[in-house]
Amino acid sequence: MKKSCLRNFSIIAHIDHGKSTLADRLLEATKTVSSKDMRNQILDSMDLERERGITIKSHPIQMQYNHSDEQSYILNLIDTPGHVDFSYEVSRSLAACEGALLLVDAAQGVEAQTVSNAFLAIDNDLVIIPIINKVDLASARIDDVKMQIMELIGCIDDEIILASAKDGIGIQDIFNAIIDRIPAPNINDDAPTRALIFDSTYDNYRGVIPYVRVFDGTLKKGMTAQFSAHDESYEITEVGHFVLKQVQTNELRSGDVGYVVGSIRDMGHIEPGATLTTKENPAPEPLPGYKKMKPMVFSGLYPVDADDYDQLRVALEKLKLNDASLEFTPETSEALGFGFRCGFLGLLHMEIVQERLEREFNLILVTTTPNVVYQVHLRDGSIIEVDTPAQMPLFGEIDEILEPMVSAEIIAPNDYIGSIMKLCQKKRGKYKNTNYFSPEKAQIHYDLPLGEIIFDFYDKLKSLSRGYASLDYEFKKFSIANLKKLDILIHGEPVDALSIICHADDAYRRGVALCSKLKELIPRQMFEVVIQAALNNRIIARTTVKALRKNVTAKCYGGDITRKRKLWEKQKKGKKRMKMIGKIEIPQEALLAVLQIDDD
Amino acid sequence: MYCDFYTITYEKNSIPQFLNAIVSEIERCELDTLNWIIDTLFIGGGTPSLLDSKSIEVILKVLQKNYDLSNIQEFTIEINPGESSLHQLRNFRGLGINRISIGVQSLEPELLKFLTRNHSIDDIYKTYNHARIAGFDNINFDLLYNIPGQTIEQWKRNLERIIMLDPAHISAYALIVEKGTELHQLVHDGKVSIPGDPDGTTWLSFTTKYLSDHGFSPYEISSFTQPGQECRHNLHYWRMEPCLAFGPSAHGFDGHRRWKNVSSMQDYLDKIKNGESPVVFTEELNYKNILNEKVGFGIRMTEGVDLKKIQQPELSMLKLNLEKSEKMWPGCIVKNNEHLKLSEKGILFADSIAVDLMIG
Ligand SMILES: Nc1nc2c(ncn2[C@@H]2O[C@H](COP(=O)(O)OP(=O)(O)O)[C@@H](O)[C@H]2O)c(=O)[nH]1
Ligand SMILES: [Mg+2]
Repeated sequence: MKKSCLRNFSIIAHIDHGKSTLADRLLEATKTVSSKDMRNQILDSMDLERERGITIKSHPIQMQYNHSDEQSYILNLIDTPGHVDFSYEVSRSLAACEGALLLVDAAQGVEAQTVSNAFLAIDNDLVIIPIINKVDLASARIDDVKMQIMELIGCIDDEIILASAKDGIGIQDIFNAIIDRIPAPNINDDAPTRALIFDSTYDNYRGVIPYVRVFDGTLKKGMTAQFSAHDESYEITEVGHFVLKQVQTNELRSGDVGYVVGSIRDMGHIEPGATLTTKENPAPEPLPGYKKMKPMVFSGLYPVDADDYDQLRVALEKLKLNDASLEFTPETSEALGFGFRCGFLGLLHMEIVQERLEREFNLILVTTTPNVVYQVHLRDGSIIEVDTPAQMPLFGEIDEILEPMVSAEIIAPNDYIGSIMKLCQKKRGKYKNTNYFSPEKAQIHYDLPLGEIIFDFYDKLKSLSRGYASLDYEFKKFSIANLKKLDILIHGEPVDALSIICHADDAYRRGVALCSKLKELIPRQMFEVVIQAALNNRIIARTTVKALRKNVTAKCYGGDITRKRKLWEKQKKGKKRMKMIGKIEIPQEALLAVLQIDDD
Repeated sequence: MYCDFYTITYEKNSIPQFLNAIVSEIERCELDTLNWIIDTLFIGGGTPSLLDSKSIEVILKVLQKNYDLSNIQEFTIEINPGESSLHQLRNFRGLGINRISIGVQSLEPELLKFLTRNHSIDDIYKTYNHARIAGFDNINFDLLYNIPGQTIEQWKRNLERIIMLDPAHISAYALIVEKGTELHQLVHDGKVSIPGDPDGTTWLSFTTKYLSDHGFSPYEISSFTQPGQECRHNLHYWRMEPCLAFGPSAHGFDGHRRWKNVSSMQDYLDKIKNGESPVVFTEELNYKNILNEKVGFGIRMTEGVDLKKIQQPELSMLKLNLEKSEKMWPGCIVKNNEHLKLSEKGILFADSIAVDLMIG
């Protein structure tokens, strides 16, 4: 097969603009999926993706396309997630491609992840094919959206394709553009082998399976794989492409996207972004790889059943294989026992990880209140990073605390600018500037403390703008802030898992709110439970959960046995996610109480 | 192994039909009971004393034909005050019934009225006297507390009067406000209120102490007995032992499976007539369910749960929960000789503790 017949591309877009639906059309048109196997958003294969209607993972797939020039082309498509938490996935996929389809919803127009993804594609030197999707909608505003796209990527009117992934409009134009505008990858099969690992999975029988894009040279069964990151080498036992499933082939050549099997058992050995080469034709220099995303949001993950600790560790290792941005280190909490402090890219990422661990590995977990990472300058001149409130040094040892600031970009229709600014102000934001994409659409820039926006900022933004505002942010720097550690005491004992770090101006309000929320969430126990909030060892709020009332004993004969047992078992289920703290049972919700405090 | 019987009847005019039905239900029963030792019989539910002795005899005959009844030690009938004549009670005794359970509920006329019970205080004494004359030594009284309007003084007075009759056994239950009942609506609308616990004690603690002081030892959370007069039949239930059951609304258990017959008399008669099974609900218990029942009902008894009889892996799971529960319920759980029990204090929280001990 001639290399000029290969095209590697991604679809990028803001969430819900139609990536997965467009992918469906392309798979259909190329008959990659038989019509009997076809279902909507077919690449969203994880249960979680289908339930939530979002793409979490990048999905590679190969299609065979017969073009009007009578040539048969191989198209490698990588569907990507659109949520801000998963931009890391996007950037990894883009590094494996030469081109990207930039999809913009005809009614919504350019949104925050349209912008950030477009910039990622430009940074990777990809050819961008702008597409306005959902032109079938009555609310489509094609001219305005065209203007926004031209402003964003500096293309001309004619380059923009009008499409409806739902109704199959413009699909042929998209194929034409893929063939004509996206360059074929360079062919250099004879060069020293360099393949970029952009993802990997674990298979119980075949070990770790890296997903690669071959840039130089070839990979074949029988060769010995070597990696840029460490010295281990493995014999390659299989290579192949992705056609919905993994399909074995003779070799992967330069330009190809595929997978490699080599009985790799050590999960720590395969890191996305690393370069795979061969002993037969080793490359002296690795590929550039990509910038590692540093997790900014941290939370503790603890097994409800202490015996599951080892299982949790293995599960995290496996998950990390295809979620490289996940970080974890063992942690011990006085309250919760042995667990892991995990770093996430954002709250959605955290939720998804917890849910995947529970579903795919059959674990029951509790998570602690998420927090950002702080830089603490101590009196003795040293600087430490603190990613859990429990580790915060004593008040007297601290010189100053720095918190992470992000530069945030909010894109919204003009009407909402006023209320968006109010929200940002309240979250201690520093206004930067406002640009306009079109007369109706503004792009507002703020510097915001990450700690303020990880919780409910996004939800608030969505609701005040009726869903029209979108948000993107990236880490900017650490800056000094007047932060305090707020302790929660139960029966006079501070509970490490409940401490939070918050701004001094906010501490009293939060202390009070947290106490009353905990009172709601902690079920009555045999004895009265005293809950207190303390700031620098001074109690600032106190409340009690009254003792449990006695049970009442009803008549209980044959027929009542089943009913009673079922009632008990139901209550037991409700208590599944409870953790013992001292002699008090605390439900998962209480550990996350701070997320439920309302600001107003 | 043990087993017992349970029947229910309703209106008088349907008795002949009912007899036919229950006889054919018994004859059709295919449960393998070869290894069972049937030692208790129980005729209860609804108003069983409407069944005359002739009818009971018919049922007994067919039971005898199908099962070995030679080991019966306890044969109970439930009656409401005022419903059975001396003559009828004599006939019951003649059939081998040796225990009678009288649904007294209360000795306060206004409370009986609130409970919509039709019997008078006089009916209670009359039925008691007839039972004695008919030769019943083993008499149980069913009593209720926690009734709207009831005071602890009234309750104490009632207990005093009941004790003066020297029954073998007293069952004392709290009135429960169940969703969907008229009482629930009344309470919900604020028209009546359930009395709170009396000052410095609880209904249950008071009752337990008062009855113990007067020679009735508690052996289950709501059951009190003079020496050696425990209700064997109920112990079967609470020890999760197998039980055959016939008649509408009857509940059976074979050690692994629980089932329930249709509750409406008409539906029961129709199903039997059409050759259908009257069973409307069955449930296969897994090892967890079985353990949970043993624990939940076991801790309500003074004998507790015999850990030696519990197998692995359930035992380890239970022990883990036990460790946790001991922390959460200080002074409530007692373990001696591999028997898991609740203390006097623990009994007050039996249901909540059951949930914590249970395996999920
Ligand atoms: N009307 C219309 N709806 C579309 C079109 N393409 C996708 N959608 C709908 O938009 C929603 C989001 O689509 P999806 O493909 O999951 O978007 P993704 O998040 O970008 O992958 C779904 O409800 C689709 O049915 C289109 O061309 N027209
Ligand atoms: Mg999608």
